[in-house]
Amino acid sequence: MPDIIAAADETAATNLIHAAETTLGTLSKSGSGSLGPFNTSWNASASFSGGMIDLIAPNVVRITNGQFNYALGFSFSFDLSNILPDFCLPQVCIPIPFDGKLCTPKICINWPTITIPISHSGAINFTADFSLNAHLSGSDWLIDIVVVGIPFLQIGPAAAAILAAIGAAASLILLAVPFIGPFLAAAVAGITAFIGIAGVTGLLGPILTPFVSGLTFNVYKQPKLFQVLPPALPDPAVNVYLDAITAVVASSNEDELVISVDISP
Amino acid sequence: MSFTEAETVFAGVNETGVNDLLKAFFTARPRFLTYATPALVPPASPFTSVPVISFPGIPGGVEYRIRFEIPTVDFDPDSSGGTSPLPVGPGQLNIRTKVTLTVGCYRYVDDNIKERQGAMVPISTSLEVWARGKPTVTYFSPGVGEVGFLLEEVEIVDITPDSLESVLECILRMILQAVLRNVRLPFNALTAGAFSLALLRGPEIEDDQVKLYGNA
Amino acid sequence: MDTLDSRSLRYIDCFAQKFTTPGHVYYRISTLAGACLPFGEEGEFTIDIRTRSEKGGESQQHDVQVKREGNRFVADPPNLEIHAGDMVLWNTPDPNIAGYVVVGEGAGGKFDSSALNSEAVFTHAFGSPGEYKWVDAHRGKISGVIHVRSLDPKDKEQCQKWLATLEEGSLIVVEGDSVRPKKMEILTGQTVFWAIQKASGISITDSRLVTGKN
Repeated sequence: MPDIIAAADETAATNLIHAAETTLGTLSKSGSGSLGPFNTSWNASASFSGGMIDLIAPNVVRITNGQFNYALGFSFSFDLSNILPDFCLPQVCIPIPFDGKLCTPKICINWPTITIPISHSGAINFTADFSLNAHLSGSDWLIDIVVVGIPFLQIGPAAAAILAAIGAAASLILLAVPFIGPFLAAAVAGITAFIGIAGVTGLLGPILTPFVSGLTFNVYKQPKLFQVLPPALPDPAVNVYLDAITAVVASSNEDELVISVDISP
Repeated sequence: MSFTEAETVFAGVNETGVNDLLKAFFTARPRFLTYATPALVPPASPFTSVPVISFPGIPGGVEYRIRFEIPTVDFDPDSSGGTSPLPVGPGQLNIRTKVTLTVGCYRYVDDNIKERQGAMVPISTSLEVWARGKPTVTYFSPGVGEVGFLLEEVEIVDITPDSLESVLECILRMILQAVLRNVRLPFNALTAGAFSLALLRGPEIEDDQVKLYGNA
Repeated sequence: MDTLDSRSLRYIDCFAQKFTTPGHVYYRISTLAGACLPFGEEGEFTIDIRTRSEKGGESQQHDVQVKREGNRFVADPPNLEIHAGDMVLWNTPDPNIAGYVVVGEGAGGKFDSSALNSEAVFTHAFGSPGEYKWVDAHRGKISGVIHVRSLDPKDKEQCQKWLATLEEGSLIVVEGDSVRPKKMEILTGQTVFWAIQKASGISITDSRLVTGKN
């Protein structure tokens, strides 16, 4: 029998896993990708929270409907002449007091290339199995839960929200383009149609998936030389060695996370 | 049956684990094993100083030293193989140790051996001590507390007459309890730091373990 | 909002000058920063002003396009022959020219698009809605307000109506310290003409571009 057995049922394990999600903090990545026909550089951050915890023997922790919180920033440039018609102001003639009549020539409007910056944050539900992994890392004992495979992410709603954000950002940028007025609504619709949901999904998938691939939460970390009592002058600390640690899910009348520890003086 | 039962977290420490903890404690803090008066201070060895027993007519009082070996525990059920004079029952524990009593024996006048006059000669005896008791808990705040030991009876084997045995058992029970009062096992150690434990039930002695139940 | 500043002309602006004195005029096209440099042989363009006979007919308008070749401005055509009383209008079709100035001298005196004199005209097509308070950046005595209203056509009929308004220009006459009218309301896309009947070295500049005039 091991020297120490510590066990937590699913209620306590839920608190443990949620705390581990918080401890993981915010992860950040950056890179470049394709937004429909456009190249874009992006930066993204992600954190995890919540979810229903299910312990499954012999060593699986399942998080159901956990929340994958993300924040994304990217920008792309768009030549408005791709979606707006050639447009010219007509010749304008008016009588001048000292000359009869003066006429301006036809002036053809140049549609510029605009850069649209996007900042968007949201949350995606995810469900994944994690396997328990107790191991020694340097001088510390760790118990991690490591995601099994690559969880499926429901990106569709997020992609739709980002496409709407692109439309809103484009609208704001386009307002500053001279002579755009009558064409504004069509320009915004043209930009979002040009990119499409598929374009956003194509960008979002490769950005968000790496955050969950290999996702690991740490639920236990203690030094191999474990302090039982702190120093209390004139006495030194009292320590023991954690010689071996295992972590499993045991199933009896309820499922429990069971950590077994062997110690030595 | 699950470990946690009606609560959400459980910590169970086997008697071998508790013995490892006791060994770690007394190895780090050996002064709690030896109690001595100035004249009988052990050379280069940690100890706790105690005053002499003063007595009218004994100049300087009675010098003495009490030294324990690192105690070991045995939780219910009895693992002593029948050797325990105080076998444990449900919820009980045995503590076993060896105590060496040393007295500074002083002679003022000795007509037979003149060299012994005015000299103090330490004389010692060692006794096997068995104690039976139960665990205690001191609770400071949710998740913060300590487990200790309460001795209810002490048995020293083969001392006669019985009245002398009773006197020594009483003295050693008081002294050993005082020694064990320094031994505190925090909840954090009993879970090996896995999670906090807001105690709802225990400590209970069962299946060679001390068990605690609570919420995280 | 778009930039209203006669001191530095863009493709949505025009500058026109009437020439009444027969003779020879030479001019240069440069950026605002280079407008103060003396004339040299390079980069000069000419206008020959001939006497208009008694039966010479109405005054004519001559258009010159300003273009960029390499890092120099060119006038197309580089040499003009006109009659006294004719107007010459400069404009560029190139939206990438960040700003230019037409500066010249000769028969009849000096002329300068960045400091408008009598019988000059400056035009500007307004592309963005908003309220534009304009001032003379040189002396600061004259000013006015143009309110540009947005019209976002909801259907084809409204779009046609808006396109028709683009052919209608609006006129502001500057005579000394007098500005008529001082306030004006137009639609996005319409053109305003400032006719400088009598003035010496003024500009039509958005007050936000002039320090202390905001």
